[in-house]
Amino acid sequence: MRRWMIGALTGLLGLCPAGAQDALEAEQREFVSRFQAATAPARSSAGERRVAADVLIAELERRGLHGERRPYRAPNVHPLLDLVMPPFSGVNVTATIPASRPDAPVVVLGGHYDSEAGSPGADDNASGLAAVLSIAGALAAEPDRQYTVLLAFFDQEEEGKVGSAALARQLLDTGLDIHSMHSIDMAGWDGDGDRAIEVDAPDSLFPHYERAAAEMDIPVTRVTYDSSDHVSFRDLGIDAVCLGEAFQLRDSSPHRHRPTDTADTLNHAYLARNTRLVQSVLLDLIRGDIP
Amino acid sequence: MIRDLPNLVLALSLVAFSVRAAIYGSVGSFVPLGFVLTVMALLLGARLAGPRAGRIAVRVWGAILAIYGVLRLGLAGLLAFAPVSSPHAIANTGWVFALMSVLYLAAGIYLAAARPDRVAPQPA
Repeated sequence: MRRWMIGALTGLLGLCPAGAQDALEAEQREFVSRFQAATAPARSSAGERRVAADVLIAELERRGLHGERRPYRAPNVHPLLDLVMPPFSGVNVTATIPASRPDAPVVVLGGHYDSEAGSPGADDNASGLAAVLSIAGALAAEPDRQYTVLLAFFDQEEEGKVGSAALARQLLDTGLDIHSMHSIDMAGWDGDGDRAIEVDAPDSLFPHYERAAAEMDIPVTRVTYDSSDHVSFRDLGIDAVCLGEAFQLRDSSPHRHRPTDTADTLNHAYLARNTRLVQSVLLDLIRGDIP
Repeated sequence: MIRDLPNLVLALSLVAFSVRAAIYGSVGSFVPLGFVLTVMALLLGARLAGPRAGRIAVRVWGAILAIYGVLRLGLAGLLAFAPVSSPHAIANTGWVFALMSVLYLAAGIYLAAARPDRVAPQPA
């Protein structure tokens, strides 16, 4: 019931962009503040990340979605370290929004939930989590879904995309037909106020982001990132997208990886606008409007 | 018992690396497995080549173990004093890691310096 109420509210707000923007800003500001407070001072150590995973499960439950812990162990980033160090271990959190038909391909939508030691990680990457959760509400409210949507909150991105690499491998090992992966990493800083974003996307998907950005008067630059979670999926041959603030254009958060990366230093209007952009593309996708 | 100690230390050192190989094999990394199989093959080959070659091989393995222990201790010291952002590295190079490193170092020195007649004795 709650899920449908949120969906209906999201749908109504979608008819009125200004209202949608304001409501989204308020919702995301509240989430980032709440998440930051619940996971203070950071989401870096194993204990801190365990708490963060629990909070995310609760947040999914609040939205009528069933969160699932997916533990993993993974080799070290450099193979020779395997002779010295123990393996990585962590927990990705996922939730599924099923398609209207059972054999539908899967679209992964995610962001990482860990942060650097000592940093509350509001921009890096509670901003991405806020976007994913907001978009999830809109996708769940869509009555006819051509794709199953797998929401994924990745662990240990800051260690070198460890969690996303493990999840990508797990998903492929189960034989899932993955259409594409969409990631949001650091989407809440716009120091010069130009609304600009960067998108790393394959040829098959970039035009859809470009068109959505043009409709919202958002300057978009196509880039290629070698870091962030989408690379884990791209490396396995999956079409993968990452949207973020203007990192390569030198307008990314100066608070990144610092104790000052808090909800107070986020540009919530910018975050909400970016969220609506990704939501627009993904709604087109799951409606079947994008091949 | 004392006479068997070098063989016991040798066996324990190989078991430790075998456990590591099994753990990493289960997560898709086979570097430790390749390493321990290579070491075992070389030790076995040297043993089959003759008692003297077998003893030399055990001593070389002891030297490698000692270097391994020193490298681990160096890594732990480096991570203790240098600013590192990896929580994985920080969490896994604490006192247990240092203690294990000391044990590897001690085992290595012991095997490298053990009296020849006590290392890998041949059956009478």
